[in-house]
Amino acid sequence: MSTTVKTEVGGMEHFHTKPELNYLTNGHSIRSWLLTEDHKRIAMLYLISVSFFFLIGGLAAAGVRYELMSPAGNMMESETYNKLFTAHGAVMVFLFLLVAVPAVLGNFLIPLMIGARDLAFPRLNLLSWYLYMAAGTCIMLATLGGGVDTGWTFYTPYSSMYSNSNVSLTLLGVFLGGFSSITTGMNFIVTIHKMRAPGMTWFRLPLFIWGHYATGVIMLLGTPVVAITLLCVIFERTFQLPIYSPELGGDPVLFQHMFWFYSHPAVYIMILPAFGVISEIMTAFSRKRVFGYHMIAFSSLAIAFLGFLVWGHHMFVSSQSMYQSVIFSLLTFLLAVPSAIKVWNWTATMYKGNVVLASPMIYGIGFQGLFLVGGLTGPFLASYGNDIHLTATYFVVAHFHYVMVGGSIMGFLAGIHFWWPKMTGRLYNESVAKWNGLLVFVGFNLTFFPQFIVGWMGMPRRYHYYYFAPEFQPYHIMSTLGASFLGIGFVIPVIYMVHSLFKGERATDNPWNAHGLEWNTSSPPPTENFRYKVIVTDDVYDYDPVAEHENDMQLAGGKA
Amino acid sequence: MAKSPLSAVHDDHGGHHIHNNSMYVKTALTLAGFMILTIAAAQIDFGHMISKQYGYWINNLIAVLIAVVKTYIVVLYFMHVKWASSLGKLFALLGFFFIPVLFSVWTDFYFRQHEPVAHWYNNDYVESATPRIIGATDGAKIAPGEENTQNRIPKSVW
Amino acid sequence: MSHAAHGDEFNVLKFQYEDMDQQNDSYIVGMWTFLVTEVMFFGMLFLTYSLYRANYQNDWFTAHEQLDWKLGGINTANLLFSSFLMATAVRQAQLKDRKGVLLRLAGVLACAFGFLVIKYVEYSGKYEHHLFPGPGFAPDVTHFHGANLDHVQLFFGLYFAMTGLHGVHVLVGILVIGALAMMWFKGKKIVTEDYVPTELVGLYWHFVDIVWIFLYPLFYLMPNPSVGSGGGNH
Repeated sequence: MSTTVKTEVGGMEHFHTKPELNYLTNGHSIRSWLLTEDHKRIAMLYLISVSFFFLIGGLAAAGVRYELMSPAGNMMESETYNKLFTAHGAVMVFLFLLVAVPAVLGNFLIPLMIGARDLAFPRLNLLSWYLYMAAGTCIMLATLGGGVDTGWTFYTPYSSMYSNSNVSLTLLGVFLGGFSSITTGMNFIVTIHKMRAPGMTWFRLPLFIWGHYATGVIMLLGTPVVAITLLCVIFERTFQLPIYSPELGGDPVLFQHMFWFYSHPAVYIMILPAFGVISEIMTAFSRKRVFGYHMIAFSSLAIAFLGFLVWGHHMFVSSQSMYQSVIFSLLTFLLAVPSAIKVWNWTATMYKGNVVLASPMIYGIGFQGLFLVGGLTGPFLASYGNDIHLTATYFVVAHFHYVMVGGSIMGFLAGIHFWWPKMTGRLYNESVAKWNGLLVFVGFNLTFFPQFIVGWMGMPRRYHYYYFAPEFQPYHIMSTLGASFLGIGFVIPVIYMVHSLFKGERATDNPWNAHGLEWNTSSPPPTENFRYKVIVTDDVYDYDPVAEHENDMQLAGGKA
Repeated sequence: MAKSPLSAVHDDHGGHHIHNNSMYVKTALTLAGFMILTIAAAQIDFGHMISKQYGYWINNLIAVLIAVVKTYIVVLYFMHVKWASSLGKLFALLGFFFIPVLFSVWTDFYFRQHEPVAHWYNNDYVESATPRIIGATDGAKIAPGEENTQNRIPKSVW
Repeated sequence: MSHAAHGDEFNVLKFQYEDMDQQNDSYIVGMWTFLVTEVMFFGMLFLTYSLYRANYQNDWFTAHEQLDWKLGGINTANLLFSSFLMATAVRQAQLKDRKGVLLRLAGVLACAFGFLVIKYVEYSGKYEHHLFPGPGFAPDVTHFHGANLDHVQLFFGLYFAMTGLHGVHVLVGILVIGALAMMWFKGKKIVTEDYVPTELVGLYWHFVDIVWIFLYPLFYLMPNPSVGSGGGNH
């Protein structure tokens, strides 16, 4: 099972690396990290900063959840509550979900998987991290220096005319974050088009790459639209340039159109890379070529394209024309097809596979379960009539958390567990990781499943209290309890991952016995990624269960 | 198989043609001609000439069409897309292809006129909108419970 | 095929590429992907413009009479000429004609400055007539023939937003072209040995021209929506 023709080449003079050095040990100064152009180091920078912002967003979520334990809302002022849920939403969406999988795993793995020495534009890659940090600084300053109370959607005219909180600074942060996203997307697209190793044809690309390609397209086409839309709100607040002002004849609903024109495809920026991760994990731990490779690859592109045609389903009750809503409702149902293709194919991959329940697979299966629930509640909300009842209730909240947390974050965790030995060269404690996967799964369902029920009963989202319906309280208490488990479930990996850095067992080049170019280089990889010239000669996911089985039999026979 | 998989990456080369100066001059002159045409076309009152109802739109259509043709010429010749690799052509087109998708927002505003609810959409809604608050700036302090009226400007000023 | 193998080619091949063809193609495709985002960026503003204008045709026609189509026309010709100079500058870069490139880039810079000067004249005129939206918006009502001043304000809001953002792009263009000209002046290998960096700046500059190609007829050359009232434009 060889993937590459290994020809040793001498003289990688550019890197000045000794053979025993890897990308982590090649330079220890702070400068060598902060001014690095190495995609692997930038990915590590992203990993650290993303984790930090996840902590902030998580703390805000904890505040929201504990407040909702009581129907009277007696822990904080309504205004504080508004600022907390805005902080949770804005930080999680703009500083965590949009960045986590593509900028950490994508950055690290795309060049490794296609056999390139780096992304096409390494300096642009570094710039994107700095833009991201600038965005994070702006949003943090705005949040800690008084907060924002518009919600992460910044709907006009509230955001442009009435809110006296730090809206402009937050919007500036989102604007900068958008440019970080655009540069990442540009880099991915050009890299995937132009930097593939000889022999790495389009249909030999791992599905992780296909997912990131589709993500890059969305980043490229959607992000500028929201950037200018939010910039217009900044204009309106600072220069009083009327763009959406209803009292002058402007249309605030246009803001919603433009916002969701990006922000609906943005949820595919969050989930498509996670789809890629899961495709890799499903095939690697089923010891079997992924079922329907082409269909999964094309469904990624179909999601990227169709994702641009469904934004109106966020606006069923915000004075969008009802005829338009009917069209959007139909198109939204259409989007279920490519998503379902993926889930079917992963299931079919596991079917009759030699399933190994390693920790990444636990998270991966957890992803499938949660994404299934999140995905299947989508059609409830896509139905125009049904959605009138469910709009802005906890049903919606539960739905998008199932997709975003259950999908994107589970995918992120699965990916981190899968590639951690490659990224750091260390093995974490496998059994703790497995039990933690279970804890996250259970905690997650305990948090968000009650929200489906309470939302269906009519609990509105973004409400500070619900004294008018005290019968909702048990569901909220369940949810808060689950959130506590979930919080613990997110802290434990940090502990055992960091522990593994110092005390972990050294990983071999291919600890999972997986297939793919990234497993052919050393763990952690050298700065130049491959110490030999990469030529791809065999197909993607070339798992051979028969040969493995015979090998196992021989080993067993040898022992006996 | 026309080409082996080993040549997958480096199969197309971008244009390195060095064009004659005359090509650039011709392109610039064409563009200048279109610029004069667009100014001239704006002077023609198609409402008078052709149709009272659609004349205005004919004017607009001509203006936008000329702009599109000019863009096409600039992209093709000045930006060398005519000689670019097929990948270059694809990405040169992608943005322009997606503009119509963005403009599908128009359908909403078109359909709103046919909403079965009376007065759902008319130009009078300006009156029903709330007065603008000037100076809703970051960090301004409004005491809890107090209505934010301090910066309200009477409608007549506007 | 390490970097060392190309040591004698030029020193401008970056380590992550195998050869110059790959690098140049990547650069050009990368620039185009950036321009895709720019197209979408301005596309949203054009969409807003088209919706509002369709709604307030008469008011906006009256408002647009405040703009001087001659000044706009001069700027259109100006940008067209600078675009032509930029295109030929790329040609001279292909021929490695340092002097020719520098001469043309200086011409482009002069045009860009001229554009901004005319823009400044226009803007200051609007400002003096209190046409800038916001609290200071207090135009002479007699110029507007009974048009709804709210809609006029909306017009100027979009006028300043769109031409302002275009102006920012011109400003960025001046910085980038200035930097490029400086590199040519100093004879930096990265630009003199290979024409692609010049081409990339050229692509950006042509895009700025394209945006203006649309802005000019849409803002300065509106036809009169009330039919049968004489010439479309003044």
